[in-house]
Amino acid sequence: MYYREADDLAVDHLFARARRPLEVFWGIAPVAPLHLGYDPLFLGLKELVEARGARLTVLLADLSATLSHGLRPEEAAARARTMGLYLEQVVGIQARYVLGSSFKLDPGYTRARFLAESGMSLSRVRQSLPRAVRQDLSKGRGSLATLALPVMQCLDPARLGAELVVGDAGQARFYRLYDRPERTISPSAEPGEARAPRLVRTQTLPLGTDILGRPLVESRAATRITIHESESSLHHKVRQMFAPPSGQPLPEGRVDALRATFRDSVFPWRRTPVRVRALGGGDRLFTAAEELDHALSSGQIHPADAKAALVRCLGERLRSVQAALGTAATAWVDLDAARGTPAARSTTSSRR
Amino acid sequence: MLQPHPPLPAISADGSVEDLLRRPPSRVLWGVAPTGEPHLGYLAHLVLLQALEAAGTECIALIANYHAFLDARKTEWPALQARSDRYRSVFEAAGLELVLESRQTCMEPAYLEALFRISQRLPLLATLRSGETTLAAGEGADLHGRTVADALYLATQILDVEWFELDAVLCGEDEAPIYRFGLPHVDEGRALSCRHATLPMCPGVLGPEMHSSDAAANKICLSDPPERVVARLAAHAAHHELPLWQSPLGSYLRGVVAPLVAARGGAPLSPAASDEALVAWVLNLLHPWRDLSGARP
Repeated sequence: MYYREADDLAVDHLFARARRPLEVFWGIAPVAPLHLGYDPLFLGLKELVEARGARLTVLLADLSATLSHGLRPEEAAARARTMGLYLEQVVGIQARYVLGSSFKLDPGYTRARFLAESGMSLSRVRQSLPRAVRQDLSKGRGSLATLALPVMQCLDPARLGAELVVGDAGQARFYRLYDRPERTISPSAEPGEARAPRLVRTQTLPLGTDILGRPLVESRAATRITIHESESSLHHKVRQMFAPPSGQPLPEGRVDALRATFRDSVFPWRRTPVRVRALGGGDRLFTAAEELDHALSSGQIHPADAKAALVRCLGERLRSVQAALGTAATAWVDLDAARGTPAARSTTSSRR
Repeated sequence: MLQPHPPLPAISADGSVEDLLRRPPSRVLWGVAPTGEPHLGYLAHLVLLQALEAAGTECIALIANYHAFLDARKTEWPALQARSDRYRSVFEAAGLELVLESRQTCMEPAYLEALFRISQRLPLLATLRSGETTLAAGEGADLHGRTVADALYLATQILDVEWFELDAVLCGEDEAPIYRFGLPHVDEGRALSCRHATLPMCPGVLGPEMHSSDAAANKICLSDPPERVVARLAAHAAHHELPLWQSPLGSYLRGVVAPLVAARGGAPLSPAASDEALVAWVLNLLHPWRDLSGARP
């Protein structure tokens, strides 16, 4: 099979033509805690299932995390299960959840991987990687695993029977490795197997931003709000959030993180209105992001008061997330703590 | 037990083979990718393994069939099993007791997990640089002309040291840089206790080296019928315009294979400098494989 990027119109056409639930695929490797920057993408996945009747497969790519970040297999699987729990029980995404380790060590998959790897040049894979990784490779840094991962990422949807693959822009880049009929990938790769290549569409879903209003690719652990965030670190991060005064032009490549967070991570996730102190006295109630945007733009509410409201709203949401995840929520943080990662230190220390 | 022998003549440039004979390891591996037909260049390895086995070393002859595919698809899928079976019969005819295939190990989940782990530890460019002399295609230690499988192939070769818990690896000079680079990356400090012994490359009939994947004219196969062996040796001597005794292949047989045969307790090569004696000695050495000459895939 091979991939080709589809615009919204082509995806509409794909759904209309299918006359049955379309097999849609999305994958994530548990290399870092889930954060609110994923909210737009998760809402997009929910819409695909609930509004368009897609049959979604979510790959929790624990083995990829082993390969890319050196996690122990059991550690990566534990993190992947926490992610699955959040997506299924908290976000409510109805899907078939598949652990990568449940099939990526099978002989058929391994043969297919070896075949794909023998046909893919390193320089081509390098082109699919983010610029920072490419620069690392040029300087002699970067491990062999860096270049083995994209090939696996292309193989996984094939193996899991996808007709449409969705992902963020960074993920979409990998699928261009196999974007022509003469450059195909085989899901089972039995010796001597010959099949007509099958076209699989890919669609890019949006991601949010970090607290500084920058694309997530430029973010750091300290500028993302994770689902494991404590009250105090949430308060600290929202206080740092980029929210320029009304009328001030935005620097290139940045967005108003306060407004974006309300739009993507607050309003779609609650049924009750958001209460914000008004500049003229009293409180204002908002039920939609556009209303709050307008109030900020017209100076009816101050960004500092909106931030206070955001801390309350996100605090409520994260408390319910962490209650739903139970020990799984702390399990992730404990694993981080055991590894001594900076992200873990910031969350665990403030948790105490 | 090894035959008592006078100090060995220099077999390997770095003395590693002599060291292996003096201090036999507990477990040694020789891996070979079935990319063609076993040839005269394997003889030194097989004789050395026979000598070590007699000294109590556990010798693993690994038919690296997945490597044969990963390494620039020198052997394609459909031919892989037949070639692997062929190599097995050649090694078994040499009396080696432990003949394994990498397709068995490469499919084990624990091996794959270990491969994932070592891939994370191996710096890409340095790994490629170590394989410059063995990888089939490409130029230099950069990404051009290399595939992901090329890098993976080198990683499996390094991982095998850890996987089989070796304290010695037997290899050709072309593979030595892989182990020099790779052994420090092997887990749990085993690198410190694992030696690699390097046998010189066997000259080809016409070219500088003999490889399985070479054209028939450049190699003498272990299972070649005697008349073909004689003809190829004569062609080699004629090509170099030298008596066989003084030719590159003759020198290799005298300087590398003969001391190993002596160490194993085999028939010594007559010190009389005669091409006829050398040919007769080679034909005698190839006797175990004569019955396989009609069964090539």
